[in-house]
Amino acid sequence: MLLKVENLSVHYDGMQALAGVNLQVKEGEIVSILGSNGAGKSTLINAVSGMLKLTSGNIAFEGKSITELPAYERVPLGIVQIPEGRRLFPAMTVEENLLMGSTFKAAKKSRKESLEEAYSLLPRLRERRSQVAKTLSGGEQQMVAIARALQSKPKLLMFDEPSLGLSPLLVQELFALVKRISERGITVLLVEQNVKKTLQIVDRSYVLENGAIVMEGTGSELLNNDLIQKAFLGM
Amino acid sequence: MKKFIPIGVLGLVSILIPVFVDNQYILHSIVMILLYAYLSTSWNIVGGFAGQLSLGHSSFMAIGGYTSTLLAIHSGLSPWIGMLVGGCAAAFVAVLVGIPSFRLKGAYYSLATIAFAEGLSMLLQTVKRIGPIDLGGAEGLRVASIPDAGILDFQSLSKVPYYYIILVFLAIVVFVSWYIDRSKLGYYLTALKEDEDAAKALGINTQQVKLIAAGLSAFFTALGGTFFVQLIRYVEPATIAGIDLSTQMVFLAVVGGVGTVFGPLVGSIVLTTLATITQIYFGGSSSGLHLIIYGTAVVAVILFMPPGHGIIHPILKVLGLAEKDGANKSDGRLSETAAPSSREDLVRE
Amino acid sequence: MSNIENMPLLKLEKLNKNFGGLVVTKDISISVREGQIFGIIGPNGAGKSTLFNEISGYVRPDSGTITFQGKDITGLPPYRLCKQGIGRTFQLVKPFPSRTVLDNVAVGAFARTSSRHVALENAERIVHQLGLGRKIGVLAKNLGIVDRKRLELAKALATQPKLLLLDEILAGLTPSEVDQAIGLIRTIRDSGVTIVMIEHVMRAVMALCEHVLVINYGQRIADGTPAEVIEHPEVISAYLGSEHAA
Repeated sequence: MLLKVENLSVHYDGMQALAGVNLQVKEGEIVSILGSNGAGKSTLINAVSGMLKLTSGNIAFEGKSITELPAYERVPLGIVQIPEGRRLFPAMTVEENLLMGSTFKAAKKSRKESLEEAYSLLPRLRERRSQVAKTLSGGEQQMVAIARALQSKPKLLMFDEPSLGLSPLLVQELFALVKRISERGITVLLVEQNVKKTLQIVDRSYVLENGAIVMEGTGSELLNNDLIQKAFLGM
Repeated sequence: MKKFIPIGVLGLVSILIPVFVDNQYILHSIVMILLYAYLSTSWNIVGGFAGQLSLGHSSFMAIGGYTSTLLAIHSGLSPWIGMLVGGCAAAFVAVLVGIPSFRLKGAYYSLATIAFAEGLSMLLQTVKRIGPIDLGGAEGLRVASIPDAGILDFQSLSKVPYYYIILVFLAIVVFVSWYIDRSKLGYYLTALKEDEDAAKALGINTQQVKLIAAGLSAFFTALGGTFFVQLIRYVEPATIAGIDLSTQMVFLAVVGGVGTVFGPLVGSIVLTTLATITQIYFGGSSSGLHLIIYGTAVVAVILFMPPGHGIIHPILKVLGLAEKDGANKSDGRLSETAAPSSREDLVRE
Repeated sequence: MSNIENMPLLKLEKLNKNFGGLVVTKDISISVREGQIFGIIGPNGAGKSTLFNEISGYVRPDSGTITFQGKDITGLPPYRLCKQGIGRTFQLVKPFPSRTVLDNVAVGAFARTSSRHVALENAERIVHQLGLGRKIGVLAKNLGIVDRKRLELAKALATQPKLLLLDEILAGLTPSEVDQAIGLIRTIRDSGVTIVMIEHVMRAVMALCEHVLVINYGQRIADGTPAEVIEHPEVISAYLGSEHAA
């Protein structure tokens, strides 16, 4: 078990955002968290990455509890998040953004190789390595964000709504990329709005509603589920 | 209507103060407290409502004070009329200066206001006369003391008339603020402060609105300048156009609650009272101490209160007058956890 | 007479814009009829938002003209265009966070009146029309994403636009939310507002748009009905991908 979330509850200012969530991700899996807007999906991964404080519950990574660790100490352990909206450093070039992903000791050692790997995975980035990030298109920025995350040598890579605002062609490329990343041995936790494409590539998925898990199953189980089809696939 | 009870009480109490306070020194201190309340409320029209952080507002006090004094000296004009002329002059200057400076963003605008005020102060200190008009230079000008002065001379030996005058000024500027706040101008000011691009898309000529706010604010501030000069019967550039007055207006408004109608008033009364009491107990020349108090208060408010909030907000809550904000408070980015997405109603509810 | 009847509400002629040597829009010409729902699609970075910014006065085109209701409006500032009847929403919604839903919409309503009473009344009506009635007193910063988009729409509608520019308003909505939004947009059009929309959600483009312009690298690569446009080979290779997406 790579990631184990037990009985997680998160509150903001008196409102309960997550209530008693239990979730597991095995090494090598692609797992997704689906749900409508406001369900708590981003809150969940923000809690796992340490960006948010829990009210109660426990998070364990590779068998050890990480609940008390601050976010920046979780990254060297291998928990890396690609936040919603990309969050690049706009005034830095593509390459500088990538290098920001390997600033801690463990990642710094293999910096050159990591950079090469990213460029071979995403050749378009190599062409634009000296281009300033804010001049990139949305799709290109998403690629940079993913490549930057890969520099941190993740064991668990968490995506927060990566397909948001992307054109249909890029959405296709994105999901293909997620699959390729998983094939390299990185465990993936994916928060997404694009239910159909997500369920087509995942091993398992959870469905979140109003802060609680309401459904769980394999990708194909959920694709064929009546409720899912009605609520999310517009059938 | 329940909103007006605390105001009514305050009003009643304030009218009766001179009846119970005999000591002229204490009364003078109270007059100064009210003057600061008046000045910070005036500043708030452009600084709080429009969100333009002017750090050089004392320049308008200087324009007001010098205009009325020079007109009195050279044309024998009543300081009251001189005061209104000064107000208009200040409004005019504010608009003139605003045209280029409002195109600057954030800190650059504030720097421009500081530059303007310092420039004016320097000018008044070095230029001793313009033609036949003696500006007094660094020593400033005296307001001649008129024997048997009446209210029409805007002078008196006793502090009591000054007290009532500043009380009326304060009531007027608070009323004007209240009126603006609920008017179209007020809505437009909030809009441009919170999101200028969105404001433009909704038909707001943001440059024009900023200039209107700047003019109004300068007008009232200038009136305060004349009052100040008539109170101490002396106008001198380093003080009246100085950075001390400018920053005090800002501190008091920020601590009280920038952008609210009563915030600057509350902030001023609390802080200046504190500072005055400190001055009385720790000796007269502890002019540094009041700044330490202001600085600490500002830092405390910034650290412990939500952005834009001041001490007026918990006070309003306690009095039961706070605006209901519905659902829960949450940061915009984390708004995912606010009210669940309504899938039910589409067009009708 | 027939000339005036056929006069487009909005006409763009050869709009060009460069940002420091980078061509952002090149010779874009479009014609939008009154009552139409017109779509603009294309890859990210294609120049769609810049085009909107040119139409709504935030960016001045280097050359070309924009005509609205027969009048040249090229280069006019946003607030003037709003007065003339052009409203817009922003891709990253721009609420006034510390004010209530009602007050937010009232700002828009003040574009047509100076009376506080009238503005609040009109604002309240629009708030209810867009399904925000239950949240009327909620501060805008406390709204969830769906309600924020409704608020964005409400503010623009309060200015009583004849032409409404929607910038990726459906981004981030689930399919059922998109369905609701489609119905809402149709209702708005039926009330007399012409709509131009930038979108990536193809389902909505197919369902709503009568005419679509596809741009890439700032240039027109195709235009026509949605059905025509999605079969266009260049559109497929540059934008849609082989699966005809979402």
